[in-house]
Amino acid sequence: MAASSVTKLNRERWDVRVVGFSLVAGLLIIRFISAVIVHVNLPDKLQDLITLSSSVILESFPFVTLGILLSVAVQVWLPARKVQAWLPKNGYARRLCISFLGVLLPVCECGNLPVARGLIAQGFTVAESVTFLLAAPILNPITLLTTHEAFPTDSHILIARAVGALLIANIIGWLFSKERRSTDVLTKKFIALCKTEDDHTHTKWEHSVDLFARETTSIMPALFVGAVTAGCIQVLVPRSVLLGLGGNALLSILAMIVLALIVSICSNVDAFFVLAFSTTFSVGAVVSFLVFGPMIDVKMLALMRTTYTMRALLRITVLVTLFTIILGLGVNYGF
Amino acid sequence: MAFKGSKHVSLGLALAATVTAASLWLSYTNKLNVYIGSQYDWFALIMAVLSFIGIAASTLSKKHAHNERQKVSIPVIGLGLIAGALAFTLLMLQPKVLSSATALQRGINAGGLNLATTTNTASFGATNYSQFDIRDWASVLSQATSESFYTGKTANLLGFVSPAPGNDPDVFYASRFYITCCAMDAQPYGVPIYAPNWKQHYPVNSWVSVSGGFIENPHKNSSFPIVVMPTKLSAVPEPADPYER
Repeated sequence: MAASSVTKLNRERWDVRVVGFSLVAGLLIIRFISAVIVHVNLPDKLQDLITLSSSVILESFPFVTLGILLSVAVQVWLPARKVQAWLPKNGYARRLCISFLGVLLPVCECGNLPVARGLIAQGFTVAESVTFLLAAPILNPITLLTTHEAFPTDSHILIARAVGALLIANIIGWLFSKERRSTDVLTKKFIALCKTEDDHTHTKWEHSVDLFARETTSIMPALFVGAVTAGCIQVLVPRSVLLGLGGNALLSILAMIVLALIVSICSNVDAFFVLAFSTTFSVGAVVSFLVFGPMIDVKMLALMRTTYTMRALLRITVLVTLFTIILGLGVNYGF
Repeated sequence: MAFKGSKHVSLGLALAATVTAASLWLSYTNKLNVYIGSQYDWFALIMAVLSFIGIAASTLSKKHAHNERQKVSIPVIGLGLIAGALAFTLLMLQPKVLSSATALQRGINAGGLNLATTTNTASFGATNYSQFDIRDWASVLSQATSESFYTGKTANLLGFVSPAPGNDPDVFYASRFYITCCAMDAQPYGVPIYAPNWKQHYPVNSWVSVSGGFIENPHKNSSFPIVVMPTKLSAVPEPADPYER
């Protein structure tokens, strides 16, 4: 490449970095100015919808960013297929090991989605990505520790949560391993994103930046849509209706599953949230909340839709719901 | 394998830039706690800075995105508008805490009342009730309904005004949201305050400081048999940390 071309390319890259910097800096200035001059009083429900949706985004964004950075690390900085080489060849044993990857990557569920995408891009199967996605938010040290802190004298809740999540993730992973065509499970858009890039001019840093941009691009709109949906449901569905079902063994489990779906709380702290309900709801219902919530919620479904087909999401949701009910009933009648 | 191309570079990055700018501003002005628990403040700030760096560097990849034709459909436009509207509010509107509308919708004191789960359990059964907060007193009220139990006990409360459901016009709730993670999981708790004509002096959602003992409600048919009779009731500004943990 001629020296003048290299200089021109470097100048162009510098220019676009300035644009990127200016974008955030400009928005920051707008935010400072609007705080002084914009004073709008909205109706309470609309204002609460905005507060709730914004809270989902502001709480999830750091985890999503961390997840994207981990995804980039897995794809660019780990030697290709190195992680796979460390894992057993047998499918059951592999998925069992993958269930515990959350120990190494202890981010909450919304951060795990970009990591799962990165694993598929690294060559992991769809079934393995599903197993990881369902197990990792629960089988990680932070979640297990906070569960123990919230229920120090009820060790069966911690055991039921960990063992239940491990079983459900691996059973669903095994069912998805029977799927012959990845096109039935992965979106066309994601498959296109995963196609091998034939560009040898990238350095590792350039490749990392490129992946960061593309993952942010794919995930952020879904996060916003998920946040607005979760906010709308929160504003429109009276929670007191669900909480009135606490006494019944089966209905309490269903109520807590619906609550977990709506609340979309981070798995690292959900045990403290559900602690307040532990006196009015059955133990099985509490365990159901703790297992179902990290696997499926409104926000996660919107994020997962960037990667998995609607049919796959439906299957995952139905299976997780059924297995969680069985687990909850088992805990209610077994302990 | 590696990812290749994308169709929504500008929207996704613009949304990320908006959240980054909002996070940095909220962190600088100490208003992140309107949305998320304070345990996440530093994490949110660090990740916002990393995101800032990533976004600034990421505009390089526009070069690739521009090589692809944008395929725009009505659902994509609709979803883009929804995301854009929320991004606009993040950037332009003042952060506001959840109102009594959400407190009533979620059910005040419906989130489970048990002194074992409240923060000041060590004091229950002892003589020191001065540290009890709204949730603690709501728990006590749900368990002890005899007026004699409350003799000599004084509640000191700070909360926002929520209308008390039912048929008692002279009672309002001094209420507070308790959060674990973010506003999505906020649970409202409240203590009934007896104050005839309260609406004239303390609008719904305004903040009040209440101090007083407990009495049997003069309205025998009320849903609140025991209420706080304020010896001191005054309007106060919204506290810097509006949610309890």
